[in-house]
Amino acid sequence: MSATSRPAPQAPRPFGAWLGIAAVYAYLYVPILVLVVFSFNASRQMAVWSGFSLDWYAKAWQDEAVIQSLRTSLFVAFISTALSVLVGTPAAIALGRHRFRGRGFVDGIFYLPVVIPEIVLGFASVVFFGLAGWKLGFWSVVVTHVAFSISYVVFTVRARLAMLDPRLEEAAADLGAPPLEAFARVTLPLLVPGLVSAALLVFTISLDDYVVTSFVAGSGGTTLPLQIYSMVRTGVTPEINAISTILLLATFVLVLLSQRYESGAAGRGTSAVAAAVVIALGVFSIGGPVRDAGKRELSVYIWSQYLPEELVAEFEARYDVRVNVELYDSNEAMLAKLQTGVTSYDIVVPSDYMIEVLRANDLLGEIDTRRLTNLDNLNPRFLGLPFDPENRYSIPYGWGTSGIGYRKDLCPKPIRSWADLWDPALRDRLGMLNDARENFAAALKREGKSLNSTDEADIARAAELVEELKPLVRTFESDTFAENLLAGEVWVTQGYSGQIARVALENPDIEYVIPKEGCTMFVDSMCIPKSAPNADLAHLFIDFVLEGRSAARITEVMGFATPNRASLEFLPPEYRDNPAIFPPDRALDDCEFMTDLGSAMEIYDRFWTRIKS
Amino acid sequence: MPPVGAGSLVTAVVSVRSVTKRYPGVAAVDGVWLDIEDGQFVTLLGPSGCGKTTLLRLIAGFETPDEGQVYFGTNDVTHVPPHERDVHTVFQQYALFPHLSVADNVAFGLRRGRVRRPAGEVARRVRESLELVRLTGYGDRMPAQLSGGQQQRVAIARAVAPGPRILLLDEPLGALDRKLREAMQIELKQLQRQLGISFVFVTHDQDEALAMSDVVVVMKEGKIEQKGEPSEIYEHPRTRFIAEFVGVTNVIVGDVESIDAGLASVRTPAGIVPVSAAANGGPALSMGDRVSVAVRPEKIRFAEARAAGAIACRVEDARYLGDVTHWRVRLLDGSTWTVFAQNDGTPEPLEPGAEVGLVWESNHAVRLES
Amino acid sequence: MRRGDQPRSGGARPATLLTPSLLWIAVFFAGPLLVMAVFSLARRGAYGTIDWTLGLQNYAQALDPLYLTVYGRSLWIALVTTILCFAAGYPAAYAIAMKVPARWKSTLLVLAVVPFWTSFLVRTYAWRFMLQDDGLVNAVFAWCGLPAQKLLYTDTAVMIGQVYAELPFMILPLYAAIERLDRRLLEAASDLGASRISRFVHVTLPLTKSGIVAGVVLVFVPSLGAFITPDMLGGAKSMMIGSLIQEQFVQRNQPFGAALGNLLAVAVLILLAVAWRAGARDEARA
Repeated sequence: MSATSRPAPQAPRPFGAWLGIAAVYAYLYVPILVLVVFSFNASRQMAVWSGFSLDWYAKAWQDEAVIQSLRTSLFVAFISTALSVLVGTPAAIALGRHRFRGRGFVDGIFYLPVVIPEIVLGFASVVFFGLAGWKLGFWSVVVTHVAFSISYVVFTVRARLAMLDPRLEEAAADLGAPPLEAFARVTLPLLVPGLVSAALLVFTISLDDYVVTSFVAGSGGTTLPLQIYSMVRTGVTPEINAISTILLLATFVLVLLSQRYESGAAGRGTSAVAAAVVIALGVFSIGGPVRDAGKRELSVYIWSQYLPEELVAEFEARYDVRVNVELYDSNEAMLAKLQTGVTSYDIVVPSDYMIEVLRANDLLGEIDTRRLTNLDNLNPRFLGLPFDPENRYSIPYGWGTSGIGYRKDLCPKPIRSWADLWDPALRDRLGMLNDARENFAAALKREGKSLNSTDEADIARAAELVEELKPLVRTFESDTFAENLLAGEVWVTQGYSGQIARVALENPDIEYVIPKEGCTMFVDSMCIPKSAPNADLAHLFIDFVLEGRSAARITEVMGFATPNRASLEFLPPEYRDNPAIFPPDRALDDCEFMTDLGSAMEIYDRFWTRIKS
Repeated sequence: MPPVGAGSLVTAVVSVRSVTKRYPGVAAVDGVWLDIEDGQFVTLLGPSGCGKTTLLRLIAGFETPDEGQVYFGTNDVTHVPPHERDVHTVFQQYALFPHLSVADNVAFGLRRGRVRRPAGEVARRVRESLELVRLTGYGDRMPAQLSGGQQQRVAIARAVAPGPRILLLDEPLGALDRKLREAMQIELKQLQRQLGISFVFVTHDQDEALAMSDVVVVMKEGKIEQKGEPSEIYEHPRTRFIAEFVGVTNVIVGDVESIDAGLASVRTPAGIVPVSAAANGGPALSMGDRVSVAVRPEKIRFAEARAAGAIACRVEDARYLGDVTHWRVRLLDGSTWTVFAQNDGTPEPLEPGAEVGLVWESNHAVRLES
Repeated sequence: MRRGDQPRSGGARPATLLTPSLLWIAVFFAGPLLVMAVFSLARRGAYGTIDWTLGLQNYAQALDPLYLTVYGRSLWIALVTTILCFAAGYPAAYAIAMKVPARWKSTLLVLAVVPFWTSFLVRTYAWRFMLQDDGLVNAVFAWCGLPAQKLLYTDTAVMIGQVYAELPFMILPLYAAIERLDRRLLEAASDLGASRISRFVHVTLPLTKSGIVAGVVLVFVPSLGAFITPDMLGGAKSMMIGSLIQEQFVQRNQPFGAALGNLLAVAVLILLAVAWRAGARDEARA
């Protein structure tokens, strides 16, 4: 009797189990839920609910860049899924059904792509494409995605194969089916659930991959994650939530259908719906390229939030061309891409010091200023700057400073100088740019030194100061510093004038200051890479940007000042008369351009790594 | 000496000639000769690992011999792939195609490769085959919706539908419970008679082998030990292995003491045992030979302890099984024997510890090869 | 090839079947890694060009104590992520495999994966909005009468985000292993008088070892190279090995970045070899 009186091991305690499961799934789903709910929020602010609205869905649908990146993402995912399944399935069969010498070794090879950290693969791939002379773009993304997807196909299909009775193939042969027919009539149909789950898995991975893609993407390869990453630099807008919600819905339907398929509950209807969804996504994904097939293309590689959508559309319409806009988030990232030598950008917009570097690397082509009819619109003050004295390589696009933004309502006292940041009252309420040079610039300027100092003692002293500042820092952030200020997460932040000027228009308690010791000033200029396939069109584009009306629109979008005199009449007063955007000349007296520091940069890097470790 | 298993080369539908199949470290089939006559029900019987399934797979074509040839009739099929062989297999666990309906499973072999039959003929033959295994009306079901016994029938229907000359069955009844298995044994036997084709049936169940076969082939360690009709295998096992594997037997070893009128007297530690001196596959006996003698338990009767020609023993215990009683007795040399006694009402006043004698007809004492 | 193999798999030889995939991996996976191995021996030139004087200086630099704290922190984050994922994932996988009616199982498993159909950047940003000072979490705290917490840009936020990103990769292999568990063994253990805890420690855990190894590898390895979550939720106050490598790419010291990448890859492979052996021993015993 004792055996039966003891609680049976499988005595279900479903309540506890369900509670545990509920906790885990709540954790997994609350963020998703927040995302979906706020995609219907009327306000741009994610933290505040201000009524139901479908505006963000409409906005997302009209955002050509987002739609284009979604198309690219889906197209990349479709092709790399098809290729991986096609290439991986035979391997799964070889490993699952044959015994041969070296099988363990081959098996090991397929584990590699799964376990090599993404950052390593991305880095290695871009270097490889550069050496091999393969153009970065759509196909570089596809082949790399396939390279790490094959393994997932092999594992998934093989697992399915292991569940199949090998005698089924023998039975087919026994009944007279030749090998190929036995495969087609027996093995393949039975593998379908495995193929479907492999395809879904690979599709998901491809659709969501950011790290590897960010390395190997080139013109025409901007996927949705890359686009999103650029957009979140200025704070996640509900537009991205809307797109995510739609994607979630579409894929949820697909997954449910594949589940039904696998469980054998699928009828004709299920298959038809699944096929319809796949076909619809497929048609959507190739819709853009098909529409624009045959047109001349201009590829613009530029900072995010620099080029308004309607200007792109206008340029496309005027010259009947197609414009690819690809985004970068740092001069160095742009340089690294150009240095691979396998890009096909026609326009890049580097900052001052980077132009020197690009020239030193012989990456820039000359600009024929005689073809620029609107060159006279530029303020002569921005022509002939030290990094390109004759403007043979660069035409100024916009300019700004990196100073301090702060909340007048939250800060105990007004901020006027860099020295004001070293205030214990700001502990955990201070934001700094996530950039070694800018952090050191703040410290060097505070000490009255040049922010381009290569003097080891100066740099060491500055490092001490940054080290001192670090306990006060809430976050090092180069992307969403302005959003943090708006949300009150930080009270003071180092930041670029443009973004802070934009949030200051939303909240009058935000003020942008150029510290009295001076700060970094930068001019971003349009350049034509030497490797540009379409330099002609690039000249037309530069001239188009030089039009007063274009320059005004650009200023409104980016929040940075324009060097374009002719644009002033088109600018609304809150921009034209905004000291954060167009500071008085004397405020700029102590401001400096950054210059490339050459080998001294290694000293900065070392100190920076120490501060951050 | 002709190899064990070899038969007429003229009428055989399958001839396995000196076939060897090695796996790393072991010869699964070791120099086997076997001829299967047209229309015969042949059973390959042996313990697991004896090579019977490998031999079947060699005939089906799933394995290729390392040495020797396989003939279908006069055609050498040694290197012919399975899908070109005119034999079909009923697999262990059936191997039904789970994604196809019963009818499509049965039709599979009818729509294969180069053979294109008109749809009407396929449908007719599917119907006939299902009728044959008494599954009329089940064509639209999926295999997973059938019971084990029904799946078994589908597997048979699928294999016979294309009309093979030989049907290979790899332990097809192993997964069924006992009652169902016995019913299927009868059905399979009937089916084979009805179709008039050869069946090659693999089993490790001796009862099944004896009940169904025209010819039983006993295998051990990759070799054929004996081939013969069931009664021959049972009554005249050639070796101690067969005697003990097929049924229950008592074995005693002794030396030939005298030979008289074809009857040899063998002196054993337990007494004198009479055995036929004639050749039993091997040479005739002569004086002084050392022989093993096997006696089946049901051939033994009890007698007075000191009756003439009786072997003395002491009763150890009894197992009462209703129709029969199994007695365990201990001989003078200390070995234990089993005796089956029919419960036919004859009083058998035996108690454990009683001293009795054992007697049997001399032709029931079988000399085994050593 | 033995002819006996012929009926299988469309009659093709393993070499034919494997060639396309192995070729692809060789060119687009092994190729880049090989190039990187050579690259790591070069030097950084002026303006980020490559100076092809080969040597081991980058590896020497990588072992500089300055970077050891970076590795240490990456290791620590990966370790804690793995432990937390295991602590949360095992009970969940166990409950799904053992306690939940069969018809719910596949639904629950799919639901564990569905969040991955949104961009992980978006998911991570959703966490930012939940964790910020006036975010959802603090709203819930306030509703419960608890004081507001500073959550965003803390280690807590990093762990929440990391575990969030990796948890399903722990649950799925664990589920597969637990599902395969022979329930009769558990019953036998109980029948022999084992307490629940000792049954778990001596029967359930060892028998699901393959799943544990797989889950740990699948969580630990990506965590080791993670840097976006720590940057976005942790405020980029500490460098991770991933951000260090990425920085070398953009800061024009690609050879050093390549050396760091190689070291990370080798470390991961060694780790896997150890895990593999542990798993293989397990298989041999089973």
